Amino acid sequence: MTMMGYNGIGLDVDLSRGSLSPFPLEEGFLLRYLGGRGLGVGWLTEREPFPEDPLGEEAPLIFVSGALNGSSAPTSGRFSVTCRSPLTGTIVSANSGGFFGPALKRSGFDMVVVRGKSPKPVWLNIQEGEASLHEASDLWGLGAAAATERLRNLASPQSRVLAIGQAGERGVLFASLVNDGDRTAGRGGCGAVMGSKNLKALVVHGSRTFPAAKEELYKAALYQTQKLIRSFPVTARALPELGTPGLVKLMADHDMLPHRNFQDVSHRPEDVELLSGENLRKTLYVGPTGCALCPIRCGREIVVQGVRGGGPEYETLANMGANLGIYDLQEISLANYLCNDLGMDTISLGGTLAAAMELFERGVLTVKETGGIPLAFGSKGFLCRLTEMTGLREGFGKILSEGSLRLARRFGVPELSISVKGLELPGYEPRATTAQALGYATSPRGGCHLQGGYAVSLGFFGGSREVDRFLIDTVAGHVIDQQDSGCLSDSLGLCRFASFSLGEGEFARLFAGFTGAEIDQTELQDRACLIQNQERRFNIRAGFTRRDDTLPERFFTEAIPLSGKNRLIDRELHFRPLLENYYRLRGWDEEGVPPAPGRKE
Amino acid sequence: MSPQDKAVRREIERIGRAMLALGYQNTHSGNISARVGDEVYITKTGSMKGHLGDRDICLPGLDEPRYGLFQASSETGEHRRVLHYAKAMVHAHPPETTLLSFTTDSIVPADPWGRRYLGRVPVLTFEYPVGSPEMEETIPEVLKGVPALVVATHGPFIRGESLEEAFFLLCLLEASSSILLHAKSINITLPDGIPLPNLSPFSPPLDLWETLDPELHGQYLRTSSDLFLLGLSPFRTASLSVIDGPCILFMERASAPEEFPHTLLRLPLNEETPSFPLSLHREVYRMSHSKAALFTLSPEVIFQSLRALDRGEDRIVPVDAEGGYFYPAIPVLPPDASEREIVKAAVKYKMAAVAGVGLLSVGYTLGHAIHHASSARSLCFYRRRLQEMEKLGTLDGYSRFLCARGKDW
Repeated sequence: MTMMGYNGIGLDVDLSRGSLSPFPLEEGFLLRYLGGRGLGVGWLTEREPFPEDPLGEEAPLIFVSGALNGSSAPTSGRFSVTCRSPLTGTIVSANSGGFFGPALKRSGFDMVVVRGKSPKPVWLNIQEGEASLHEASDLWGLGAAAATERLRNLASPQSRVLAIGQAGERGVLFASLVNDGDRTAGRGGCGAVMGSKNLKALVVHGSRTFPAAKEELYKAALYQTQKLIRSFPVTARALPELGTPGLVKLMADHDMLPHRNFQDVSHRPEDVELLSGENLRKTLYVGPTGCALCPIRCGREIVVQGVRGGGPEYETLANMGANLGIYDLQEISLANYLCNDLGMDTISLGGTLAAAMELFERGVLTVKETGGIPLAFGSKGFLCRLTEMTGLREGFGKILSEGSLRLARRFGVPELSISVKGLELPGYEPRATTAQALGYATSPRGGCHLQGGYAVSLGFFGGSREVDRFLIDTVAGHVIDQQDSGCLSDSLGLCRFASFSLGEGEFARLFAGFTGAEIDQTELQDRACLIQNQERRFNIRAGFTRRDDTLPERFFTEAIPLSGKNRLIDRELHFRPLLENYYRLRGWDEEGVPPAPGRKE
Repeated sequence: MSPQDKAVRREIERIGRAMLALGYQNTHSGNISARVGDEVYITKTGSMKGHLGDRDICLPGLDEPRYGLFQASSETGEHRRVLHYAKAMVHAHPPETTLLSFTTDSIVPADPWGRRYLGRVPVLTFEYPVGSPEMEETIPEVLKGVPALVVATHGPFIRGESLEEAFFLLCLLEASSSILLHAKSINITLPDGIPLPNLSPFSPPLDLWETLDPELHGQYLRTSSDLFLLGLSPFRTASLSVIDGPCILFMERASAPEEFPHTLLRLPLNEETPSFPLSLHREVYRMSHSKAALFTLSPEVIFQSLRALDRGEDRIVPVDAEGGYFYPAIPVLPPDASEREIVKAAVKYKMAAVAGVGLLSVGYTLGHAIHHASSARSLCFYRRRLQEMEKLGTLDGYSRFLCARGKDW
């Protein structure tokens, strides 16, 4: 007997043996780790041997539906992919929206654990609880879009496909998984892990439904959730009308839009205008798109040079645009199409290109190494070529495909990699927000805005919860709140944007109503602490220490004008107390080590 | 930032501080917007209205969406639509109006000021009365026909041709609601059809001073601000004057914080004017040796004057010691009393209430006059609360507190 709202079954796929074995998921384990990121982390840390080599045969790759996938809760279409990152060596849970997560759950499995390596390329088909492996030699070498189309024809037209492109096949260390055209589990290189197993795609379909366990409670929670999302400005208007590209001008306005590999935040207003969501809406925009059960619909469908597709998100515009000194929406959008097809994380690609451009600017790299490409900041017309070379690991692209840290180390200037734990930073200048700086340093998967808590939002759309951007003393508590809330979104399968309107109280009522679990807000927050402690323990086992909870040197030593003052993050005065407060509030020791696992964390 | 951009931001900030000073917001709620050309300025969601700065005012775009939408108020949808035909809008949670909205489907002011500027104020009920799409559809349509509406159990939405006008109407609505609630709490029906004084349309005053005396400048500003902060008259409803030889120094649209623009005019005493309340002020100096005069609209005083009118009484008798010591009674004149009659009574008793219309207080200085107005408000407050207790049965013999001198006057 399991809780309602789950299948209570996982699928173990051993590609070396070609075996497919359903296994039961105990109620206690589900309630402990919820779903999505939490369940992936729980499984990897409690049930699997530590994967020494992220790309090794025995390293597991875990696909998990969100706990609320299969419900009617708004934005509950997100799922997670958990593994050890080949890019960073940390634990990584990559998260994606679209329609794959609910389809996986309705197919009869809450999670799929893939291990081993198939001798030949294969794809995994799950239809109505029946799983099978199929040869994918003829799909190998295809981009994600073409592979998806072929697989839907082969399996069933209603199927949802999660595939890698050529980048994953060829081992680009920041390769992503792509579903529903332009939704990606992007960060940390899960695509490379999938490619290393010769697994091209998962194809899922099912029609199982999940009635709410406590209908009245669930209905009340659903009503409140829908109303809150439709009344909060970010989710009611800003994202539906401008999508995440609408953030470009807001970030520029707050001195947070990075420029020239985070050397400064100085953009000409006319350049920012070109890159803005407002301009995208006027030029390339066709209409909004949304993931499963999403009332927000922040996705932008665009047409570029006659090709219709998913438009660039803010992160892509910031990292493959502003941070490179490139403000051409068309060029960035075409490169974004390529990333979605090749299957690559645009943040890491952008960060790696930015590092390469700074190396080039310093004369460390020349056209000799780059294959004739002048890699100066602002160079026009090379973005697509560089993207393709990287995704296919051709020429100089082979070096780029290893990420910014390996690139900068190779040329003897590791500090030019603007990354934390090897993961490139997203498009928010940490000197302009101490909360986000701490979030980057402590995010379990490295330099990530989301698992860092998207603490940047505290500085401008927090409403009465807003926290001053340059505050030091009490910031750690706010960052922890944000990280915990994000961890719960990731585990429940809700969109991070919904968290702008909702809080843990709404999460708890939805979850309790849907599954019937007796759980309140505080207990749910305890789960978030447990999940992040487990991530921390994994990273410590992987060799990470307090020394790695830091920021790129640039932010400690190079002051830049921000909000009328030259600012940097003072290592002793600012960063040290931030980090120590963070550890203390997390209940970790002064080296950042969590207590031994306990019954209640 | 252009001078125009700065000016509108500063005005929104001023209105925010003023709203908070009156307790019209729960610190971080409500919203304020203004349009200049095609640009919309609106307060950030959840911003503390008493401490607004540049970062708390967003530009969400009038038609085409702009990045300001990320931070803009939850009610931005309503504001954007209303600002197509108005210049400003405010939404607040003033307690009396919000409370009254629980009990009625329209607010019909009993006082002539409210009737003149607001008319009948509809109270709308929504299934989800905060930032909902239904509100975004309905409110802009309704506001085309009336300057103000109230979302039941939530608060009013008010448009204006300027921010000051919207705020002025908000304050008038709260005063009118307060009077109606007072009537409800002692279960009386207020008289209907009180004649309207000849009131001019609202326009925000310019920062214009026809005096070079900094001391006088300060006196006027302080008095105007005190009237506002002490609740002695709603925003921009008071008028004050002092006599200076053949002229009076007249300030209309007073009762505003010092940081707001004020106009002080030097006007000939003997010129005829049809407009109220200037005509009343002139009459004070023509008929008496008073040196200063004040006309205010405290809801407490207006309510007691309406109650007196309803009961056929011609005075408000103090119940408290200080009120009784200084003022045997406040004469209550009918709304159609002549200016001469009003002034005559005020000069004799330091102040006189015109039923439903306001209170004229006179004295040697502005300070003297505001003291009377302030005392009137206090003694009316004591009276009302005792009347409520008597109605509830928790107090026996309210009338035993009435000042003996006042009863005999």
